[in-house]
Amino acid sequence: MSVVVDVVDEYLERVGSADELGAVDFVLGLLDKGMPAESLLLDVIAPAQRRVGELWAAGTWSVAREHGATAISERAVAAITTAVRPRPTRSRITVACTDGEYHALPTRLLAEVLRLRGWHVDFLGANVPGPHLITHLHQTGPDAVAIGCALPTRLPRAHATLTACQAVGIPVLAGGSGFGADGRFAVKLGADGWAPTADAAADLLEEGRLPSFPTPGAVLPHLADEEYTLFTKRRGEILAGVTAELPRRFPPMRDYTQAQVDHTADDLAHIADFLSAALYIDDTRLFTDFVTWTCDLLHARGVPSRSVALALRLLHDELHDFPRARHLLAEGTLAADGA
Amino acid sequence: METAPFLVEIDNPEPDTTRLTLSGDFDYTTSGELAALTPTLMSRGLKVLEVDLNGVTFIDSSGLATLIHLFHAAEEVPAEMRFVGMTPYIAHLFEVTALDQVFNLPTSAA
Amino acid sequence: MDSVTHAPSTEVLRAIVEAAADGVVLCDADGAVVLVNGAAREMIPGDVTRLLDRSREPGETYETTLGDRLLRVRREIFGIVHQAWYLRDVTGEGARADALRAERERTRFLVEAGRRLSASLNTRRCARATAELATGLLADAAMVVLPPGGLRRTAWLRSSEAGLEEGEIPVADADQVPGLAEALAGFPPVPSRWLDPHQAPEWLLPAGFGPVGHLLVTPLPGNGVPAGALVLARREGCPGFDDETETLVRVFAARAGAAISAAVLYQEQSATNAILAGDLRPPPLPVVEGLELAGSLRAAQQTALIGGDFYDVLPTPDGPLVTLGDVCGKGPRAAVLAGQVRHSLRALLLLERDPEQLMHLINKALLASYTPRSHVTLVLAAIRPGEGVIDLAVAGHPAPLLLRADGVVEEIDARGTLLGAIRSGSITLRTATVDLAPGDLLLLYSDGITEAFGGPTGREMYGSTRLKAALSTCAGMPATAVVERLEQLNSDWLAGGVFDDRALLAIRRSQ
Repeated sequence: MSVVVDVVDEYLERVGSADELGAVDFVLGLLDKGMPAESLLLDVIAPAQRRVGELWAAGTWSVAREHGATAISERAVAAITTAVRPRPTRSRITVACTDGEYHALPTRLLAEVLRLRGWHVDFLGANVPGPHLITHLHQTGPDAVAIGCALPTRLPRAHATLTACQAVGIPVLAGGSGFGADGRFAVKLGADGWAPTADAAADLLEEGRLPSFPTPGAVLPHLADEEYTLFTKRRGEILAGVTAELPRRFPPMRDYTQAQVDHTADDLAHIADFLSAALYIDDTRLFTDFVTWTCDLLHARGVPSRSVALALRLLHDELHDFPRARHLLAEGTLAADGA
Repeated sequence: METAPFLVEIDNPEPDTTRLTLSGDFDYTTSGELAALTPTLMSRGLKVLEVDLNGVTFIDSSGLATLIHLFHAAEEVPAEMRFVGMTPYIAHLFEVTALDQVFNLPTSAA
Repeated sequence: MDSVTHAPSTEVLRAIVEAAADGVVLCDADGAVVLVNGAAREMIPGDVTRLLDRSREPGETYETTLGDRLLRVRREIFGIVHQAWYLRDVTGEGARADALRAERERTRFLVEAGRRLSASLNTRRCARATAELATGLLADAAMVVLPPGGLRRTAWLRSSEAGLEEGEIPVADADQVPGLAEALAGFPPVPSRWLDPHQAPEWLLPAGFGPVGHLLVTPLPGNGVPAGALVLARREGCPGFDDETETLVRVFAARAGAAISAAVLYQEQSATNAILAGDLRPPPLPVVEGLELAGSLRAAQQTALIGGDFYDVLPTPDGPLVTLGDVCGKGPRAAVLAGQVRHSLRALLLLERDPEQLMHLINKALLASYTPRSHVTLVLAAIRPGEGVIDLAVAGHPAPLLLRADGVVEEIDARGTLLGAIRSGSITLRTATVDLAPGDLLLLYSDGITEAFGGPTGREMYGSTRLKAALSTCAGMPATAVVERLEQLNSDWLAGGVFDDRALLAIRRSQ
C-alpha cells in the first residue's frame, strides 16, 4: 500500500505544479510497468483528486491551482483511455452528470472503469440538461443510466432527471457524494441502485443487481407542506432581508470591501442552497454536516465562523412560517456553535 | 425568471409625428408584436417616428432586429426615425453593435 | 294490539326446513341422524354422517370435497341435545373465482404491459420489454424478432430463465419459421400460427431449453411499418395455448407492435436530426502549437443542443482564424443561419484572411441572403502563431477580454456594426491587435453570458463587471479550466433559470 501512497504523492506533485506532460508521462509510465488501467484511475488519480479537494478546502491551494490540477487529471484520464481501449463485450450504459453539476471527474472515472470492464459506454459529460439526456436515452436505449451528483445542492434537479429517466423505462444507478456518503438520498429519491465508488458501481452492474425496468418513482410526502417550493420562490427577498440585517448585527461588516461583501453574499447563497436541499430531501444531517464543514473551512482559512451562526439565526428569524426550515436552522446553529 | 410584460403605446404628439413608447422585455418572444404593427405605423404622411425606450428593461437580438426593421421601413416612407428615450443599458447595447453610428439617438445618451 | 302468536306446529317447521336451499342435517346427542332435508339428500347421496366433523367448534365453517364438488359446512349446537350441520355446494363459486382470478391476472398483465411499453421510444428497449413481459404468464421463452434494419440481417431479443439474450440472424433464415418472414416484411397481420415444435430451428430457443411442447408465432402489427414478430415457446408437458391465451397474446402483440413501430419511426427521425444537428454543433478544437484552445457552448434549446451561437477554429496557411458569433433568434432556425455563416466564412477564407475584409464580405453576403433578418454579431481573431499576436475584428459583438498572466483583465478596444442589418451596406469597424505574452489568455464570449438573468434576486443581469471579476480569478489556469469555471459560475448565477444561448472560447498562449 505504501508504494501506492508514494505514487499518489508523485502524481499529485505533478498536477499541483501544472506539469501536464509530466503527469501524463507518469501515468503512461506506470501503465507500461504493468499497473492495471483501472487501478491507475481509482488508486492513483481518484485519491490524488480527493487530496486536491482537501488542499483547496484547507486553504493551502488556490482555486486556480485546484482547477488547473483537475484539468490535468482530465488529460491524464484521456491519455490512459486512449492507450487502453478494450472492445465492448457488454451492453450499453449511459453515464452523465446531473443538470448543474460541474464536478465531472468522479463521474468520468466511473465511465472509464465501465469501459475498461467491457461495457459500451456513452459519457455525456458535466451539466447535462435533462431534455438532452432523455433524447439520448430514447435514441440509444441503454440498459441503465448512471447519474453522478457531487453536491447535495443539486439533488432537486437530480431528482427531476432521475424521475424522467425512469419514466422512459431506464433504471437509474446513482453515484457520487451528493447522494450521501451512505447513499441515503439515492434511496429516498427512488434510484434503482446506488454505489459508493466506481468499482462498486461496476460490480453492481456486472452482477445484474439493477432491475431491467425501473420501479415506480418515490413519493416525498413532506413536500406537501410546500416549504421547499415557497422558500425557492421567495429566496431572493429572504436573502435580501438577511443581507440588510447582517451589518447591523455584525458591525465589522460595515467596513467590508466590495469583494468581501460579494463573498458574504456567496456564502449566504450557499447556506440557502443547502437549506433548500435539506428541505427537499427532509434530512437534518445534510444541513448540519454542511454547517460544520463550512465552519471548519473558515477556520482553516483564519476567518472567524461567528458570521455563519449569525446568518443562520437571522434566516431563522426571517422564516416565520417555515417550521421545518426553522428546525433545520436551529440544528444548524447548534452545529455552528459546536464547531 | 419573471419577465416584465412588453407594452407598446402609440400616440401622435404632432399630426405628422408618431411616437412609440415601448416598455418591458423586448425579446424573442415579444418582438413579433411590434413587427406585426410596422406596416400600419408607416401610414402615408408620416414624417417623424419617435421611439421611446426609457421603459425597456431588456432587448435581445430579436428585439434589436425589429428596431432595425422599423428603421428600414421608415427610410422607405421616407420618414425620420429618432430615439427620444434611452437607458444606459440600451445605449451600451447600441454602442456594442455600432448602431449608434446608424440610429438617430438623443445627444445625452451618446 | 296484544300480541297473539300462533306457534307453528312441528309439521310446519319440518316442511320449512325441508324446503330450505341449504342442506340441513340434525343429529341428537349420540350423533344419530334425526333429520335430513331435501337439499342435503341431493348433495350427499348415501351415508350423510361421513361428512359431519364433530371436532369442529359450534359456529365454525369448513370446506370439504365430495367427488368433484366442494361443500361448505357449518356446525351449530342447539340446547344440550341437538346439533345441526348446514351444507352449501360452493363448487360453482370456486370455478367463478378461478375465472375471476385469471381475468384479473390478464388485466394486471395488460396494465403492466401498457406501463412498460409506453415508456420508451427506443426500439431495443420496447423489444426487450415485450420479450420480458411475455415470459412467465404467456410462455417459458419469448423472442422478439425485430424488423430488418438492412437487407441482410435482423436483430432479435429473447427472454427466458436463462436471462436476456440478444443476437442477429440472416434475414433469409426467417423462412425457417412459418409466418415469420411475412411478419418481418410487414405483410398485413395474419393470425398467430401454431408450429410443429420439431420444425423449430435451433436459433429460435435458448440453449438447454429442453424439449418444446408448444410454439406460437404472432406478428407484431406495426400500423404501416413492419414491427417484427413475437415467438412464444412452452416446454413439453405444459398446457398448450388455449383460446383465451391466444386472445390475450393478440391484444398484447397489438400493443407491443404499436410501441415498437412508434419507436422505429422516432429512431429514424432522431437519427436524421442527430446528423443535421451534429453539423450545427461546434467542432472539436484543433491542436495548435504554442496555444491552448478551449470552448464551451450551451444552447437554450436543450434537446438537440443547437442554437444561434457558434464558434470555429479554421486553419489557414498563415495560422488559425478563430471565429465566434451569434445570429439573431433562437433554436433550429437560428442554428441553420449560424451554419450558413460558418460555411460562408470557410469559403471566404480561401480568398481573404484579413478579419476586417472578411467582415465586409460576410456583411454583403448576409444582405444578399434570402433569409429575413439574417443579422449576425461576430468576432474574428486571426492568430499569427509563434509570435502570440492576434488581429481582431469585432462586429456588433461584445469586445473580447484579455486576461494577463498576473490576473489583470483588460477589455479589448474594438467595435463594429452588427452584420447583415444596415441595408446601405456600410459598416464601421475599429479593429485591434493584441499581443499575447506567455500565460496570457484572450476570452471571446457571447452576450448570453453577460445577459444571464439570475443571482440572489433571480432578476439581475450577470453583466460584464462580474464576468471580468470572475476571469481575473482564473490567472494561471489552463484554458479548459478557465472556460469550465466561467461557465460554471455563470450557470450557478442562472440557478437553473431560463437562459439564452451561451458561448465561451479561450485562446491562451502556453507558458
